[in-house]
Amino acid sequence: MDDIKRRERMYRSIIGQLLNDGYMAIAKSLTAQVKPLNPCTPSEFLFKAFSAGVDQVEQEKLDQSYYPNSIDSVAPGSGIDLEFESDVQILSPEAMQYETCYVTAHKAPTRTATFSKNGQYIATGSVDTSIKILDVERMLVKSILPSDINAMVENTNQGMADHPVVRTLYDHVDEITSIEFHPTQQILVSGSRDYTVKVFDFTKSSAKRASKTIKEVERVRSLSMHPTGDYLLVGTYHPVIRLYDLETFQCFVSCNPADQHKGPINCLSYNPTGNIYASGSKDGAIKIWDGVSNRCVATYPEAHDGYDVCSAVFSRNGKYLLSSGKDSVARLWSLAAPGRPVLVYTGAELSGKQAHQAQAVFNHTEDYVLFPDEQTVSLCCWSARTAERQRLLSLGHQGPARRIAHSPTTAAFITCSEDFRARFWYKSPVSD
Amino acid sequence: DYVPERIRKLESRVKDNEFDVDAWNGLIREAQTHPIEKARKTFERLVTQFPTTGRYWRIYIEQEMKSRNYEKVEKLFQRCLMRVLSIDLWKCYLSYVRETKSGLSSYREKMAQAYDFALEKIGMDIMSYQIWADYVAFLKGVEAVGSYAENQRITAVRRVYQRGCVNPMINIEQLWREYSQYEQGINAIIAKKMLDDRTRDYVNARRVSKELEAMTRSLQRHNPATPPCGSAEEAKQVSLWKKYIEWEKNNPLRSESLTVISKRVMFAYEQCLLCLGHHPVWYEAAQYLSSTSKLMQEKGDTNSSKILSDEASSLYERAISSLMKSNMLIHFAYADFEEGRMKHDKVHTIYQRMLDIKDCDQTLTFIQYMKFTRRAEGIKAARLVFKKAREDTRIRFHVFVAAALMEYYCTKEKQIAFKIFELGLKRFGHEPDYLLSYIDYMAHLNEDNNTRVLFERILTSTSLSSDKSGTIWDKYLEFECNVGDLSSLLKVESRRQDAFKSEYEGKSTCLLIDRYRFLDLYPCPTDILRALGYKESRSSNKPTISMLNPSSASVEAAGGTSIDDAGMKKAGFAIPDISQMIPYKPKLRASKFPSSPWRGIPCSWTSGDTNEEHAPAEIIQPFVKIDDLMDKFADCSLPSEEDWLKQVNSGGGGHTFSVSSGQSNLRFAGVKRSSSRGDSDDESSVNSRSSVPPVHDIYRARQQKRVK
Repeated sequence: MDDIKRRERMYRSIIGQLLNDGYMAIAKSLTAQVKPLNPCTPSEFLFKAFSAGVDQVEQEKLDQSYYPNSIDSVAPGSGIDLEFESDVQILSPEAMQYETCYVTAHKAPTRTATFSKNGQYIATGSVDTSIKILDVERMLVKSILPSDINAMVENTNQGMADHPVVRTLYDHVDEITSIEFHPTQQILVSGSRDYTVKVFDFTKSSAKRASKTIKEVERVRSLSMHPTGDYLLVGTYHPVIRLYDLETFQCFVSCNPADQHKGPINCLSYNPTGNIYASGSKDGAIKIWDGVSNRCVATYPEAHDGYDVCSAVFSRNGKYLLSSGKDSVARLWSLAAPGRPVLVYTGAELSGKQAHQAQAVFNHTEDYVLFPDEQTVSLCCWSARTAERQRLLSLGHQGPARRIAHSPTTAAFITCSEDFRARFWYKSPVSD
Repeated sequence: DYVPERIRKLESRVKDNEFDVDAWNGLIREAQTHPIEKARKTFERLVTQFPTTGRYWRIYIEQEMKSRNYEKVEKLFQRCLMRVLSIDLWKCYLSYVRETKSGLSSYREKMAQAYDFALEKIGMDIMSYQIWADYVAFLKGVEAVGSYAENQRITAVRRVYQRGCVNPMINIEQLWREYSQYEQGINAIIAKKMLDDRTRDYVNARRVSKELEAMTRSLQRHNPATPPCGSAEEAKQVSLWKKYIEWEKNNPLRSESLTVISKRVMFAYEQCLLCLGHHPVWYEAAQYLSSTSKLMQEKGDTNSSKILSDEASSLYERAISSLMKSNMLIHFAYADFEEGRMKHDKVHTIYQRMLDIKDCDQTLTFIQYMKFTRRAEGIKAARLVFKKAREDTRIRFHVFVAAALMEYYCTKEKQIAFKIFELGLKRFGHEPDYLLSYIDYMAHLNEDNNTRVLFERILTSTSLSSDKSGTIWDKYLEFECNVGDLSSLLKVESRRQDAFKSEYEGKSTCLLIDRYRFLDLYPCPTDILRALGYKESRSSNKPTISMLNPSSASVEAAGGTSIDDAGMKKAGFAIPDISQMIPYKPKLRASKFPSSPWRGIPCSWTSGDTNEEHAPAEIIQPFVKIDDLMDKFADCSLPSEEDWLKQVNSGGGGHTFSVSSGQSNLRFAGVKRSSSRGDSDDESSVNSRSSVPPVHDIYRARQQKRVK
């Protein structure tokens, strides 16, 4: 009730301000729509309240402002937050500036990839049932050295000691559909079409086989690990989202069956604190779940005009959700204002509808949104705050890019494609 | 002056944190687009902020070069070249010499000098191949008329090649190949001997090159030096640098010359200091130099020993005049080092320089200075330092305590120490810590009555505010417990209670505990202590005790720790509450969705408490009646192998099977079971289930054929 009253007052003061500033026509039409109880008088109240509010917000921001030399600041910048002014200076590179640093090939289409939380490792998974773990630093070294030196290093057979592919894991018998790293330990979890979720401990360099297996009864499509690494969400072809306790391997679901999706689960992702997670389904809906009780707290039906939802990721502050669907449009949702997206990133759909799933991701500073376009095999890039389109980056794959994952810490991402290859892209921070 | 909004923001970021590298990079990019006259100010600020970053110097110099301000460039090189051993910067220097001096008549000499100079300084760098190759090319290109000149040229080229081919770096093979060709081109017979003589050294250097490359690979050598921030990335870099230096110390070249080893190690240290200049690596580098110097001394090489020792001194000097300007640790280490070399004048200047720094706490500096003068020049000189310290406003009470104890321990003059304490009392009478030190001193003298008088004086004086007097009261009580009789003990106790009437209201038992406790021993268990409210009364009154006696603090905190530990790991994360959810056992369901006939039988690995009642509505299971199923198995007739293969290979059949749709599927399952039954126990049949093959699996089909 209090909220409604306050809102009423806000609209009254908007009209008052408009009258005060001489925008009679707008004020009149707004009055006609809002229908306030009492007639509004011209006043400067809104401006005063705004000024006071801005001062306070800025003060708050100053208090918790970003110091590069403190321990908590992981990535550069503070990430996307539309509540603060939108003319944040962008220092991170746009997609166009990235360059391929390293290419690794599987024996079949490569369809999934992920970064570890510290940005040190990448894992790629393929239809050929193998998982490769790549060391980011080693890939960079390979690309920085001139090629003749590389040849020399390989000839002298020191190559194996610092080869970028640090592990190759074979334990599945069908396509790998999803991979997740443990946030702190050298543990990798993979889901496959062979109805299993496997846990790999890759501490030892000889690691090949899974240390533990969860047997599912459906093709696994998506995984998300709780930020503590103790729980795992599993999405399968079946609509019920499973939560596994990784210590006991027990399975739990929401206590209300009506919470669940009506179609296969395409994507799952926890927010950075683990109090909320999001799911996207083939039924076209995005659901927001409470991470503690595992109950569905919000549903965005037909989030992508009824098309499959292909990806949903949270911003670092957990305030926003970035989703993409088979309509080739990426949308940014504010959790505070459900119902409609706050920003829509369009343009990728112009080249034609996509047949496969693709993901929209943030770059590491959340200044840009990246989305691979299937028809032109290029990467679309938008400014995250304004949805303004940036230049395209041609991905150089021979087939559609099926997965993109951006590093959480540096300007680097990986794209996986039907042409069996995974390309690692990087933009060196050194200004030249 | 118009300044774009973007730049203003960057400037304000830099103002907030002058080591904000990202913001600086933005400013640099901006400055590069402006003419040098306008940008010079920014560049000057940049190189003052990051004096050891070769890249920044290079950008500045290149900008000046563009406008052909060669005099300015020359000056800039003078400022940075010797201190910043960055390969990029030196390459830039060589190209500058090449560009500007080519018109001069003395070009050849100048250029050769520059190359020699560069190789001397930076030739050890792993990326220095280009400089070596350029030098050789330059020498080869010099015109030589007459056989004498030609011979000279050959000697010069050969000299550079021979130095280069034993110098570990990337691309050393290339240099060796070129050298071989060169020698072959001159005289094939001599060449063989020349090359054979050097092959061993070259192979050795090549091996070290590989190791060096592996060692330095992950080092971020171009990182600007910033103060330690404790990030993981930084910790990694520090450990990598340590590893690299340690590797150099282990003499990878297996050289017998101590000079060569120490030169290489110092080069590694210099490289490290470019990036980690704000870390106390300076001390380690100087320590290495002085220990090498001692080794030299033992070997009887007094001259080199002296040079190294001077180098250590100049390294310290560089540290305290650049990035370590206000670091006490390096100053003290430098002072001790000079003291070891008996250069007392120098030590005095070092301390004086530290003291000249305004706005910083000089307590510790004075204490160390006093200790030094006492050691080196005796107590009289130390007293003079103490006198100076007393006149300084930036000191805290510690100086008085140190001075008094020094008098007591060194000169054994109780009276002087006593006077100093009294002097300090006037200035720091409000500091409980100072008072406690004074009391401790008195108590140790075993002058009970004097100590009592002191207690009374402190507690009755007005300089000590009553909320700070708690520790003094505690101390008094303890003192009386140890030396006094019961009546004086009780008296102090009741006075203390009066002093803190409101806090001790109804807690007289707590006071009793204070009377009996000794070190970390308490007269009753901690549970009772907490029940009495003992913890609160103590922690509010005696914050310092817990520092002096950590074990008692841990007893107090013991109740809370276990909870904290568990909570720590998960701090800040929301944890799923499984009591609000229902256990779930994934099972195969009716063929509502397209499905494969190969779906496994639900496995029984979940615990027994699975609640099927709560299974979501739309996935109601087709419950199988086991007996009926077994009957079906018994009744069904197996198809012949040919039929079955035909079915599989044609591909169409497999898709339409489903659990509920009847006979053919059951038969199908029967085939599979029988094939696995032959060779296995339960365990392996579980495995074979887990690796359910795809539908069109010709390999599997053939295998099954073989089993039959």
